[in-house]
Amino acid sequence: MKHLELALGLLLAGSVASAADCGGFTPDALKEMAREWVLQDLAGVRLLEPGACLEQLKLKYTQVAHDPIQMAGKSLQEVADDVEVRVAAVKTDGTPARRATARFEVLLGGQWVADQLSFMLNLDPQVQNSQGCAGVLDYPQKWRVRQGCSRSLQKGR
Amino acid sequence: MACGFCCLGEAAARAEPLQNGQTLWLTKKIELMASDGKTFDAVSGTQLKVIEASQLRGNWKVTVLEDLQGRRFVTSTKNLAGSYNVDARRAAVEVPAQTLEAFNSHLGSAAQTCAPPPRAQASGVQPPVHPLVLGARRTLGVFFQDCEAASRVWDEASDQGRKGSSPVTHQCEGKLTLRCLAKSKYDDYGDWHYALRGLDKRTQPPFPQKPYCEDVTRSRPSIYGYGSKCSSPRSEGGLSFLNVRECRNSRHDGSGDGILDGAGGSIAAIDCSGFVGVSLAAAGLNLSPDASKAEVGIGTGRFSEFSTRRGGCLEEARLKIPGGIEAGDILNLAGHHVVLVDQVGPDPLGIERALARGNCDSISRDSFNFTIAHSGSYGDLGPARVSARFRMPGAKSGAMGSGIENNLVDLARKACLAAGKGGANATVAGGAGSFMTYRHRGDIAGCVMPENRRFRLKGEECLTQNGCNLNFGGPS
Repeated sequence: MKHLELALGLLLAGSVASAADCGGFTPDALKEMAREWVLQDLAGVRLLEPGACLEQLKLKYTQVAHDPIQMAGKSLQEVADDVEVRVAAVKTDGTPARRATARFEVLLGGQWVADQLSFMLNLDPQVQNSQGCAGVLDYPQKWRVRQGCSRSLQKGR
Repeated sequence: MACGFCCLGEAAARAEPLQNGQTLWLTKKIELMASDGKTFDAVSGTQLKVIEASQLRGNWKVTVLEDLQGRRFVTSTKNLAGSYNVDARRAAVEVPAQTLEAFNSHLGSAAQTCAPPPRAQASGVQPPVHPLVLGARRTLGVFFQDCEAASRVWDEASDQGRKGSSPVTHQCEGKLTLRCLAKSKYDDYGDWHYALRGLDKRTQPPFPQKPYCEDVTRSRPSIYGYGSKCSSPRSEGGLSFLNVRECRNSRHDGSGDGILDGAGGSIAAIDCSGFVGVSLAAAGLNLSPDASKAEVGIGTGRFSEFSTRRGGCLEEARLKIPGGIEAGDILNLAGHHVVLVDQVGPDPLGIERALARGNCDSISRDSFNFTIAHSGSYGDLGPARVSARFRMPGAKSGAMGSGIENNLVDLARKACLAAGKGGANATVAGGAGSFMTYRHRGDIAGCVMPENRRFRLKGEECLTQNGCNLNFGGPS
């Protein structure tokens, strides 16, 4: 009997375990996912050493996965710590959508500067739980990092 | 410990209920009957697809199976029970001792400790290895100055003995990209490094194998060097990782990116594209048939310049369904990172398992079943041979980095969906956006160097003079 109870308990626990909230991958949710990727990049996700900025990020849909650029040559632009970001549009690919490309803009020196990035969507609940709702495929063309997050790099140059 | 068939405890057969469409791997030899009535033995490790899980034929319950070539067979359901596994990672394969290590690199189990170091073998039973894979292993062997170390794979098992924190210092002299390793920490680095750990206690063969090999844990450990790439060798003895002009880094004055050696010490360093460039050169493979364009030290953003579309030797691969990637493939996220596929196991991207589950979206980086060779900052190791699905404790991505991992997952899902729509023999493009899978075309005239012009690496004699067989076995 106890075994049966245990089995039932496990079954119920399994049925209530839910996937990460991906907002139904609605256009608004996709825009927010894109914004989170931009914020991760600005916090230095591509820097050789992961900084404290990454840990401080509050992300709803994506997980921080430090992904350092493994070669010299890509030039880094430092931007203000309170830089503004807006996602202009997200275009999806496939039915159901499994990939998305986002056009976004960063406010630099009073001007909105455009860039883009692309990401894949994790539709499987188990993958969502372990790896978040989306994973970056193509980083923004320009490598920008908030000044406070790249200070040690600046000091060395 | 007798080591002939050790380390297969994890691989014990498990009787799991079969379903139509499921893929299984035999864990024992069983008899199959073909449609013409002929019978033969299918060996352990054979991959089969279940067409009909169990059907009654006369008084016999039989299971209909299909092999990778699409041939159908029947076998006794009773005999099949307990003779298969539905998880490739746990599928036992009867392998001789010399190939055990390669097999276990797929399992991520503890074979490293019991597999003997690979030696040149009299019987040439192992399949040929892609030349670029040999080049990468040769490069690793020269960095590590030991054949066994080059054969080791960084995975969950080999990571077990790692203790404490990394002895490599970051941001030396205030520069984020500059790394250093004090000479006083060389011993610690030997204990930290998955491939070098424990070698000092090895007695057979002794370590180092003098006079041709040196103990790099005392003389010149290898670490990741940001921006360190090599050019054509200037010295008679071959390309030297310690020659600052040949493999540029900032060992001496810290004026640039890369590494700074400890006082009186030497460090060999290389970055990701530097490693791939040297591996190609060490394999005798050109990037371009045009000798005037021959280069070794290209950056990760320049591989497309050497694509066959632009007259080079690197083909933008199309991935065959369902396998996908192949040993020797170059996985490149332009401007970011580049790695080599070292060895592929069954179903390397997990496409077949996803098809069997009927859920292509279930493919994730945990589905990977292959090893890579690269140089990266991951774990402070630099040049390394790594299980693609291995992640250091607490890390969200592996040595390839999340960008390459995500692109591979995306490709695998795409291939899985194409296969599900009846494209079993189809191919998918090996990349999109900044990501591309390149395959070296040795069949194009001028893309392979004559043997006498192949790049020699200084210290290569450690491998050649000690009979190191870089074909570590397995299905590469």
